[in-house]
Parts: sequence; structure tokens; C-alpha cells
Amino acid sequence: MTDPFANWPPVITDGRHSRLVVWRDVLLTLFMWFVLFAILYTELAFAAEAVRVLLNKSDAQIDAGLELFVRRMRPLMGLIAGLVLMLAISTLASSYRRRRAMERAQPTPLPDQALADITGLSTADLSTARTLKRAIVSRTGGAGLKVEAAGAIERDRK
Amino acid sequence: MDRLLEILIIGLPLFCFAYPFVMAWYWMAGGLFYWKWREKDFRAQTDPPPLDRYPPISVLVPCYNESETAIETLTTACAVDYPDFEVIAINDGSRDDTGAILDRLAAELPRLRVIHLAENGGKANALNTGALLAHHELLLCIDGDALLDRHALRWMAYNFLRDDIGAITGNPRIRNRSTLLGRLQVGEFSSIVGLIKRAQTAYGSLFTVSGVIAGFRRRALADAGWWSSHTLTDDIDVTWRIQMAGWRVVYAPNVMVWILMPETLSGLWNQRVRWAEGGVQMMLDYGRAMLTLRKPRLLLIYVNYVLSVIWSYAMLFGALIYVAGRLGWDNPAVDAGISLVPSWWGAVLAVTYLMQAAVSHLVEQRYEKNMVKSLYWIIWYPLAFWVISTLTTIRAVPKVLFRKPGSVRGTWVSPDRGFR
Repeated sequence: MTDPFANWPPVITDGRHSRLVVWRDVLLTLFMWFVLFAILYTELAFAAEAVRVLLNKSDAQIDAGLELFVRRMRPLMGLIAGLVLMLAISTLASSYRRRRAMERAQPTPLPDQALADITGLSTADLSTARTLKRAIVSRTGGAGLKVEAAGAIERDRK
Repeated sequence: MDRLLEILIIGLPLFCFAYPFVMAWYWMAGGLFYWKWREKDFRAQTDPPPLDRYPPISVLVPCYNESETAIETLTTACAVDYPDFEVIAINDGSRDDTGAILDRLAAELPRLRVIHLAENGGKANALNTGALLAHHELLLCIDGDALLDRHALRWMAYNFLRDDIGAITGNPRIRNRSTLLGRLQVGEFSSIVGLIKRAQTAYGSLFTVSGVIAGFRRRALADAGWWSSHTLTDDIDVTWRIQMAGWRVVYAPNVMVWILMPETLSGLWNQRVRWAEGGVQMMLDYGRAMLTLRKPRLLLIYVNYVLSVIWSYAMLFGALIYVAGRLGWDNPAVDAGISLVPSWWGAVLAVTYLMQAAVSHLVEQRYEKNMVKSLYWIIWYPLAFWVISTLTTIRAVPKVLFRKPGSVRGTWVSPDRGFR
């Protein structure tokens, strides 16, 4: 059998499309970038000028409503700072919890008896069911399972 | 009444800006914290660390009408690099020739076991049957059209052995990238989904595992009551129940799987409506538990989801106010200078979003080379995906609220697997 990982990663970049569709997508996306910059052109220009004023390279009088905007933004910046601080504390707590967990023993596996109780099988039947290469499983009411070997059923049918 | 209307008219559009802005910074900080705290010390994904022991793992692959993909999925899963594992394909009463294909594969692949369910019962039922009949305590569940990475099981064992977690969610990578929608989702999964999961893991609780690749401790599943057939999205539901049962769920970015995603608008729409319905159902199911603070750590994740639903309606409301203003209705929102056309708010949000995309791509580079190329397509995300996400949430809320009690039964969806 050939190695499934021979051509990895299994990315598909050549679907059923003509080159026209590919170019359409590229150009449409380029157009969207232009749209974004066109929408934001005024603000970007104001921001650039404000930076120049700050650097004493321009003495333009800018009134783009930036002061009002910054005033309105202030509570949001406070909220972000609070959330990030909380996240930093949570990260430290998660790290501490993980270190503690590494020192403890691993949780014990669910015992077969518990699984057998759920499936309505005996533990011996559950073990047998797990050895079947091909099985047919049906519900026996509730969560109970009935497990049969697929080959045996096919033989019976024949 | 007028005052309330005024507050709503001014407040909601402000919220439209504030919610994604604040959360983008929160995700970025969380992603960077996770990177600093854990990820930067990982070895390369292709070089998993040697372990003292390799716990046996059962890989569960529920299948329904997977004749097109079963061979590729199962031959890949059986060929992964791990000393002790089995692969169980659970055929949930497929109507095509999936059953015959699985039987043939079982003869060829020594590690493969096939379970044919006598009756179609949905994905949750198939997973429960597989989990109950699996040999091993650690279970990795993947979809029937997903390709498991060669090193996924070694990284899964690494995560489970070094922590007492109940479940992990892996790192799905998009395979089909031949269309705009495919390429967009590459950016979405790395820049949005990956960053959110990192931030949530740093915080300590996860909103959901990815159903396409999730690892579980069987004991945690038993404590949580297994997968439920009475839910719209089994992955969201099982994540919440495992965490409510006191287990932790974490993101494991090295546990990778390669997946097919919709590449048509209708396929994408159906998928996102289903996701949104699952989220809304979770919101309703766990409202009481959150109000009584049964699991305080989950509260923030819950509140964030509720805010995202409110945000969707606020966006709708904001759009209506804007249109009303354009049609001549003199309203306080327009007077206050709030508009759908971006000004400073829009400029700051756009820059923030681009920064978020850049940060996530920086973090994601170790998992895939040339990720930076997908930044080109990321422009569509705020323009197209936010609209889709808003509309699907608006659609999902009444659908879930007015659904007849007991009418939900987890069933298979016919996926759009893109163009191949």
C-alpha cells in the first residue's frame, strides 16, 4: 500500500476551476482592499497629519473629531485593560493548575464493568465484542447493545 | 419611553463597534499569553517529544454516506505514527456503499475495526457506540472525511499524559483552497478560531471542541453523560457537559487534522446556521446554571456568547437606523454622528482586525508554511463573514426558541465538501 503521507500536506489548490475564476477572485479581493482604503482614506489622512503635527513637521489645524472619539474610546480602553489583566491572572492560574495536575496520578480509566452495565453486556461479552473485526450492533431498548459478528450473520443469510 | 429609545438608538450602534473591538484585543492578548505560556516551548509539530509510555488510543470515525472519502480517511488514520492504537469506523446505516467499502478496508487494514449500526441513529449515537465498544480509555474522534496528521496521536498522548484534562480540541486545517470561500476559511480558522481557542485555554475554559477532531478521556465522557442525541451540535453540547462535570478541556494545536469545508455560499450558510443554532441552544440550556453560578469559570465564556448574539441583533438594528436616517427619519443616532459608514470607529476597528490577523498568523506559522499568503484574502472576513455570522445568528435564535420541545434529534447533515 502506498504511503498516505507521501504528498503532505493534502492541500487542494487546483479544484475544478478555470484560470479565469482564479483571476476573478484575485482581482475582486484586490478591489476589496482598495474599497477598504478608500472608505478609510479621510481618517488615514487625518491620522498621518496628526502624527506630523506631533513630530513638529506640520502646523496644520486638525479638527477631525478625534478628540471626541478619543474621549469616547477611553472607557473601552479601560475595559480592555481590565479584561487583559484578568486574562493574565487566569493564565497564571491555569499554568499553576496544570503544574499541580502533572504531579498527581493520571485519572483511572473507566472500568469495563461500568461499560458493560451501560451496554447491557457481560464483561466477557464486551471483551468478545471488542475482538470482532466487523460487527453489527443493534439497540435492545434503552442504551443496551446487541453485538453480532458481521461475518456470521452474512454466512447465516447465505 | 423617548429617553429609552434614544439610549437604544445611540447605545446599540456604539455596542456594534465596542464588542468586536474589545474582544479582538482580548483574543490577541489571550493568543499571545498562550503562546508565551505553552506554545513557544513546544518542539516542532513534526517532531513530537518522546514519552515515557504511550497510552493506547482508540480513533473513532463515525461514517454516514462516506463512500467518496472513507478510503482516504481510514487508510490515513491507520498509517499514523503511534505504537498502540486502533481505528474504529462506525457505519451509521449509510444508504450508499460505505458499508461494503468499510468491510473491504477491514480486510486490508489490520488496525481497523468496523461497526455497522443496524439502524441510522445520528452522529452522537454512533460516537457513543464506538466509545462503549472501544478497547482504550483515550478516544480521538474525527469526521469521516478528515485526514489525520501523521503525528496527531503522539501529540494527543503528550497532552493527556501531562495533565488531568477531560478532553482536547485539535487543530483543523482546511484542505480545499481553490476558491475564494475556501481560502477565506483558511484565514478564518487560523486567525479567528485558533486565536479564540488559545485565549480560552489560557483563560481556563473552552466554548467548544471542534467536532472534526476532539480527544476524550472515556471517564470524562461517562461523567458528562456521553454524547446527546437531542442536541443540534453534539460538539458544543458535550464540551459544556464535560466542563460542568468538573473536567477541563484544552486546545491542543499540535493535534492536527486536514478537513474539507464548504465552497458554496449555500453550503457555508447551512453549516453556519447549524453552528449558530447549536450555540443558541447551549445559551438556553445553561442559562439557569450560569445564573446560579454553578460553574463560575464558564460564566465569562457564556456571557461572551450572549453578547455575540446581542451584537448580531444590534448590527441589524444599527443597519435599520442607518437606512431610516438615509430615508429622512431624523433620529438621535444620526445626530450623534453614528453611522454604518466607517469614520474613526471604523478605521480603528479595521486596523485592530488587521492586527489580529497578523498576530494569529505569526503564532500559526509553526503549523503551516506560507501562511502569510492567506493574509491577502483576509479582507473578506470582516466584510463577508461578519455579515454571514450576523445573519445566521439572527436566523438561529427564533428557530431554536420556537422549536417544538423534543423535536431535536441529532442527525447527519449532507456536507458541502467543496470542489476537488
